[in-house]
Amino acid sequence: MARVHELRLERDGSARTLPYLIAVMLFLAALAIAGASSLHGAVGGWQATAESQLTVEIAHRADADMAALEAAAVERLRQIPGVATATALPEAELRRLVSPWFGDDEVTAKLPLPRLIDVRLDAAAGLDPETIAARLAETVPEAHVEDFRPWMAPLVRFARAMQLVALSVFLLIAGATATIVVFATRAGLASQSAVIEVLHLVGAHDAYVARQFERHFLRLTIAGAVPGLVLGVAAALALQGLAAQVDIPLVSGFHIGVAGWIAMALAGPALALLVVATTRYTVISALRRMM
Amino acid sequence: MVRFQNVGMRYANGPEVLRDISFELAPGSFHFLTGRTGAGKTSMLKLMSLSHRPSRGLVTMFDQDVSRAARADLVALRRRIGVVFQDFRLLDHLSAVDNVALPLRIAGAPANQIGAHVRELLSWVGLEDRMDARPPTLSGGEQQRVAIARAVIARPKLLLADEPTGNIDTTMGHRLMRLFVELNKIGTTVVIATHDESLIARFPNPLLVISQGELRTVPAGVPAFAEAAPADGDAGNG
Ligand SMILES: Nc1ncnc2c1ncn2[C@@H]1O[C@H](COP(=O)(O)OP(=O)(O)OP(=O)(O)O)[C@@H](O)[C@H]1O
Ligand SMILES: [Mg+2]
Repeated sequence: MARVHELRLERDGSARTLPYLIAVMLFLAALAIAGASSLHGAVGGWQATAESQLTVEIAHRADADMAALEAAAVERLRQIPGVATATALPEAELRRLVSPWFGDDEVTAKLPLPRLIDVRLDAAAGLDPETIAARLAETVPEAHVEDFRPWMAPLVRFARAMQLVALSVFLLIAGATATIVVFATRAGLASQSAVIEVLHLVGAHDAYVARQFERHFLRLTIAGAVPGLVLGVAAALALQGLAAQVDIPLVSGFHIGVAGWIAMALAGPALALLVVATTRYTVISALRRMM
Repeated sequence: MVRFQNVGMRYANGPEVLRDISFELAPGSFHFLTGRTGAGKTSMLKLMSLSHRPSRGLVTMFDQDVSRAARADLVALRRRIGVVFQDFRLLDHLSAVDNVALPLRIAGAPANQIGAHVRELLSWVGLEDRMDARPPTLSGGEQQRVAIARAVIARPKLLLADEPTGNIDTTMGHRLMRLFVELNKIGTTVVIATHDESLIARFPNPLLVISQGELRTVPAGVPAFAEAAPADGDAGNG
């Protein structure tokens, strides 16, 4: 004997509209997860960079032996515990970097350029730029320690704010979905009230009635969740691919992490769970009004 | 089995349609519930079928105070009660077989045990050719028999039937009455609401007569129906 459905929910309006709404919700959820996850990765990268790298700059002085100052600074830096490497940027490289702005090699050659030293720190040592500056000042007072952290901080703050936005998008998706499901369930309760009353009077438990609603809405959710998630993941992949082609480290660092993909995969079941729980709650609380 | 003590009932904020009703039905008894149209027969059955709460008084079913029963207990009680509704309340999109099987399905009976049992009963009420028909394609009398089959399929301990012979000819009406009598013989308590005098005469049983919102019991064989019919002058009340 085939399964008998006493309730005829498939003829309700929800049967047509709910899959679309669920698809939209999951598409948005996938994008929000992609955004939050790649921001999380990028922020981590930026912070690591800010905490493990700094640049020492020695301003040009016509009356000083710049090469000697640079050598002394590098030497001193290497002696500081917690400094992993200290590498002077070759003067030729520096001139090559600025040459596009001046064009003429003659001009570039005469420019009073500062000396730059790239310093990498041992993350574990927890060395802060102030300490380095103080130690360095003992031997090369002209040296100036360029710390990335001050200008990284607003960026991180901005990224965190974006992550909060992504989180609120989630909460909005969950709230909107629950609201839609409550209304769809109430419509079903109204359209099927005569049948529900018969079921009730011949001794059906509230759960028996609720299960038919749950199955109905679960089926609709799956019908919408699959295409919605597929499109969302495709869009996320496309965005990630486009970001990778941008030659700015801040942008190309956007990369959806493993946790992001897992979260996207779980978004479907999570939404389905929300739908089923909302349906059940709505049906049971309506039935409790009957004797 | 069924005990009412000073029970009143009203719909929403309307007037009391039943007032101060007290009676007791012994297990295995057979009663006709009668009274003029609008007297409150269907309302009485709603109280007994646990479809409405009384507005006052105490309703005891199967030795359980209904007002104190937990929700799950009410479900268990309803499963021991079979109801034939005056308006049948069949599910239009299901076949006769699936309609009759409803109480068994809801109680979780194994599907393979339901089919044969249901078909046998439908044959017995003369619907062997209409098993897979949907209610809208059945005549009024055929629908009524499907409704009766659904009410008795789970062998209820209490059978409540609201005008169960209203839409069928006398022969079929008597056949169905014999079904109720048979059920009664094997222990089912039966209450049948009717204003069919000939039916009451043919199957002499005690009466529950409702008039002006009040109920009195009349022993079998006393011709109480004619006396219950007039709205006024209910001299025998008490
Ligand atoms: N759902 C309802 N809401 C309000 N009043 C109702 C409702 N159902 C019945 N009534 C009123 O309650 C009273 C009793 O009605 P009930 O249906 O119990 O009568 P009855 O004896 O079954 O009549 P009949 O022989 O015509 O079936 C009537 O006055 C009726 O108008
Ligand atoms: Mg009635």
